[in-house]
Amino acid sequence: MRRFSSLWAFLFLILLWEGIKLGLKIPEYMLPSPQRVLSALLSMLVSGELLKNTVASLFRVTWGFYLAVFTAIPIGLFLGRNLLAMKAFTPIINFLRPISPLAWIPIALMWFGIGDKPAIFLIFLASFFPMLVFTMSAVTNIKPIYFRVAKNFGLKGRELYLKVILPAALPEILVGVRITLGTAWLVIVAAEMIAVKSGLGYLIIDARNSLRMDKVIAGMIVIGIVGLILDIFIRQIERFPSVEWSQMRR
Amino acid sequence: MGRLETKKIGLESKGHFHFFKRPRSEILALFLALFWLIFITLLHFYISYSESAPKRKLLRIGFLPITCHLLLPVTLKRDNYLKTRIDPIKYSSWPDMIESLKGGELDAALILAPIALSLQKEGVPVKIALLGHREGTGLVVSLKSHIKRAGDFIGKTVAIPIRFSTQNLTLLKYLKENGVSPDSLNIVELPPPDMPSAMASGSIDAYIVGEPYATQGEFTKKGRIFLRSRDLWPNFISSILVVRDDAINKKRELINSLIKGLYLQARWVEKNRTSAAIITANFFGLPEGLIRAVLEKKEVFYRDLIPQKDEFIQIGKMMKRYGLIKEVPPCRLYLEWLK
Repeated sequence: MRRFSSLWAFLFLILLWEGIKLGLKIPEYMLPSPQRVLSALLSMLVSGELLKNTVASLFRVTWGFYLAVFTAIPIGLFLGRNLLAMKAFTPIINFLRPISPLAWIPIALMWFGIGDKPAIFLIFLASFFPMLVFTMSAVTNIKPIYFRVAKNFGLKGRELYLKVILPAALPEILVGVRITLGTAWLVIVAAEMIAVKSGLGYLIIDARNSLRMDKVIAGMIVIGIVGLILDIFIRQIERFPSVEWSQMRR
Repeated sequence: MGRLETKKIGLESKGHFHFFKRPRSEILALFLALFWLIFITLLHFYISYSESAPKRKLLRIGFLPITCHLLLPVTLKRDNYLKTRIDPIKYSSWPDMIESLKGGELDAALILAPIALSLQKEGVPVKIALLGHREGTGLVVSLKSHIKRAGDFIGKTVAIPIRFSTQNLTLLKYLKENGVSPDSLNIVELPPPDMPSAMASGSIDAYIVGEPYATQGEFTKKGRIFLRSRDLWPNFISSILVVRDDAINKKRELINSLIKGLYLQARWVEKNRTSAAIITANFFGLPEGLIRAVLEKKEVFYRDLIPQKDEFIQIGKMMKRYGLIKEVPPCRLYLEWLK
């Protein structure tokens, strides 16, 4: 009973949904019943539609997110160490950061056409700035004593980055990676609302255009489930010794 | 106390963690991340591109799943020559399709006539080649709103698909002709598929839209079609086919056969409305009963599809009159396919 407490909570949510629907007599086109949604989910699973669209979404999120992580971390490490550069670029970063990826949709469509590229671009934008800020703050938060010790040992340049800065900033960066992945997955629906022929976002928009509310909700459920699984995996990052160590240190 | 703890951690990170576990788990994670990248990329290309892999089709045409664009699915279903050469791209909103057309991603598109005119005015190299249909737009009012004449619209919320639509122009024309100022009601832009449910939930009182969403409003039993386009604007035009100049230059023959194909299939549609409805419902993924109702009740027509310059000048003048544009746009037609 206690072990499956979260399953019971989900069950309660479904019962609440059914109850509200029956109690308030909400018609099918406003809120489909759980059974309808489940059967839509099963039929999409059997037809392979679900697999295809989930894979397409994961593909775009993976590329957009990786590109962001592997560009933002080096830039962040560099900016975090160069006070002048950081001072110069921080206003630009803070200016670009609050612009929602949604606002970039028109530009993304014109620059990248249709297909995977604009969606990857939007996910990249959504993950790049948070990742950059996390990395920069991770570097600036490194205790000055580390640098003094490094100086004593005569560490410079590449060695200083690899042996001192990166390991010291890594715990905070990894926490940033985890939070950023959540953001990237959050943006997928918006990114796929523009002309692509696959993906979970497309599934929802397409179902809406075909007046199939049951498929819309089924798509939402799949997004939630995949998000949950992604979080379980990325949480393993917190069990890295380097991160655990930094948490103990606090 | 504090000193004791630091000592313990120090020991662990030196002996066990630092030399053995720490490098391993992070490098392992990097490897897993790389493996995931390769795996998901291959899987995506395997699933998504194995079916449509044969060859990239020659001509890309954008459309929306509405009956105004019915000629495209019918033509692709019935014309084998075009089927293998045309790549139809489905959009869910007008702005997205317009941006693709501007960017040159699409060679041709079915778009609303006022959008085409304003694109031409902006200098986007497109020409108007064919009309998509005639009629097929309805002003739907909610049963609860008790709208019976033009004056009843005052203070109500009415949805239009997009400002640059003949639907909007029709509504404004109707209001003006009946002495109602458009400022006295609340006009909102809403994607067509959302309109019937927005009305059912009471957030809008009426909407004007292309089929099948007007008939869908009647299907929900919350509204009725108050006026049809033909009552307000005889031979009403909304969606038209535009082609990009570069596509005309590079793929002239294929463009011409596409336009001819659409034009010829229109005649078949007029004679076989039920079959056309079934083809379209399957292609668009819309309920068959709904599309059949629209076609069988003759809400929309597929005749007189050759664009006439004066009709577009008329639309341009209306756009100017209602403040959508500052001057009447030049209208560029492409009629060479008729030869």
